[in-house]
Amino acid sequence: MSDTPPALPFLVCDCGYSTDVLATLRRHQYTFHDGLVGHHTQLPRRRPRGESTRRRRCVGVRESGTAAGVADDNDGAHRTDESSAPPSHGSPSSADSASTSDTAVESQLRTLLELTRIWVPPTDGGGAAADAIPEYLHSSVGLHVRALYEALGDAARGEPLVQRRKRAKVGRLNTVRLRALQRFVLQAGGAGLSEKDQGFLYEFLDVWDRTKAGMAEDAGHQATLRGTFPSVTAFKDALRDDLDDAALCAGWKKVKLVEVGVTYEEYFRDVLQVIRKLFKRKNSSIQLWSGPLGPAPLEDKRETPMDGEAFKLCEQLVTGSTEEVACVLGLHVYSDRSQLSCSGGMLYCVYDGVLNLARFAHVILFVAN
Amino acid sequence: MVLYPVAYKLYPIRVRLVKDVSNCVEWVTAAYVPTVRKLQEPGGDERARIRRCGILQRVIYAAFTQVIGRSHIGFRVSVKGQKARAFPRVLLYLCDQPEERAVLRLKGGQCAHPCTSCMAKIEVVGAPETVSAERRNVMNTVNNQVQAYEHRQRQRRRQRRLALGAFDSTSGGVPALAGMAGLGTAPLLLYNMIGFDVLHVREPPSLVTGFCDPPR
Repeated sequence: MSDTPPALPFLVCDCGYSTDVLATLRRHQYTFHDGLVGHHTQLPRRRPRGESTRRRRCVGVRESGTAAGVADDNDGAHRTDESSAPPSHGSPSSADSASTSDTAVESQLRTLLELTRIWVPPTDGGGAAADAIPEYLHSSVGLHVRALYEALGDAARGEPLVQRRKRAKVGRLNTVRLRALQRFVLQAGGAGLSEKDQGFLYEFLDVWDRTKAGMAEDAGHQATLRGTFPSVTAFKDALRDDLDDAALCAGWKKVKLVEVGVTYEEYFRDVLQVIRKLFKRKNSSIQLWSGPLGPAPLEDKRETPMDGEAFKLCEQLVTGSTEEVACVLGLHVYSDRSQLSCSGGMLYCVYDGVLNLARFAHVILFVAN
Repeated sequence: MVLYPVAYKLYPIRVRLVKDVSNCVEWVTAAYVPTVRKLQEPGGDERARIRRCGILQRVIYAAFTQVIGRSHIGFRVSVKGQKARAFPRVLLYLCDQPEERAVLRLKGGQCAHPCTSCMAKIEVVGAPETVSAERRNVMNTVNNQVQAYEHRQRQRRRQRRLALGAFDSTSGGVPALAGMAGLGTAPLLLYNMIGFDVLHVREPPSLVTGFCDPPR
């Protein structure tokens, strides 16, 4: 079955427009009168966009009183074979062309639907909500499918992807260097730089352009990147060398561990070196003993980690076992190895006044009254 | 050394210096523990658990080798012109409950002695009398762990090994930190060093007002 509408004997529009072909009449009605309005159609009314333009066109048609007036539209968009013709090259912009093309497709579809569908009266037993939506038979499956999706109106509800900034200034990256910068910002790392990284980049370029206020000057102030690194390889090698040097200076090592037949790679550094560096860096804020001049006695004071019983017990043992001036270097270790997000220490009420810690069921916790 | 994007498969071990009395608390990463996944093999769960515990202990020992050695003999430090011999001690190990059992090489889940710091039996846990339960003996437990480990390494005396594991609810390995002074020696704080990270606890700690053996 074809989608071509059959000829029907309605040839004169209310506005006075007349034609020999019904399809042309319907197209005129949908173009200039928002279609055949009534309960018999399930299609939404046409969008109000361009309504004033259409009314202006309709006035022009009324004035001319001929179909030629439609074809001689100012922008050349309205053609007799709208469904197949490409958008007019005479349209002022591509957006207008797309809009015209959409309108032509929409108009053709509406005409097809209106002329070929047959209303199916509601049958007994259907729900009230189901009966409220009229049912139609269509001339072809393809048309039926299009009608179903047109009823959803997804495309019509589409919005622009982004909202243009107020007083937006487009095209300011208009030199070779700035376009290269733009390309880098949009392509770096595959997805481009985040807004935070863009801020970092601006700060960097400000320094690189030697325009940052108050920046220090040295022997390489006027040096260029190519002057220092003649090739990409030299640049990458320099970066890698510095990175490797930083890792080595920090004392990082790696080792392969074989456990029950499987090899794992571990990264670690000597905690003693870490402690020594911390000691050196924070020398002014280091306190040797729990008391001001030596180990403090056990008491209830709990203001710093050095007030804990564990620290003071260790301190007493260390200072009492050597002739030398000695102190305890307390360490706290934090490990996040477990993949569980929770220790399982869920609290729930057993009876009034007593809580039970699920995984430490022997621990009885009293709620202070 | 270049760390490629597999870094997300590693978990950090961080240390902090207690003697730093400034308001700025600084944790420094000392090691990264690789993630151990379960493999498609017979007894995959059990083997993955053994690997996980073994790797953790080896990572801890690799990072703390020098500290463990120096915890016994000390090293010289100078603070504001005052010289002293410092003896490193691990006072607190922050982790979550499953890792606590792994760090100390104790059995997790349902076992005869589910408590880390005392020997309360599972039949009586939750009862008030467990408040006075016998404390876990560091020397005995670690000795048993070492003995069981030796048997396992040499694939001998399986019954004895199982009995040793059941006696203290240990999991067949040796805790690396037991070699550290202060934990494996007086004042024997090995089973008192664990503290739970508040980020890993669902309920606010203000509800908790007492423990049978409070962390020091």
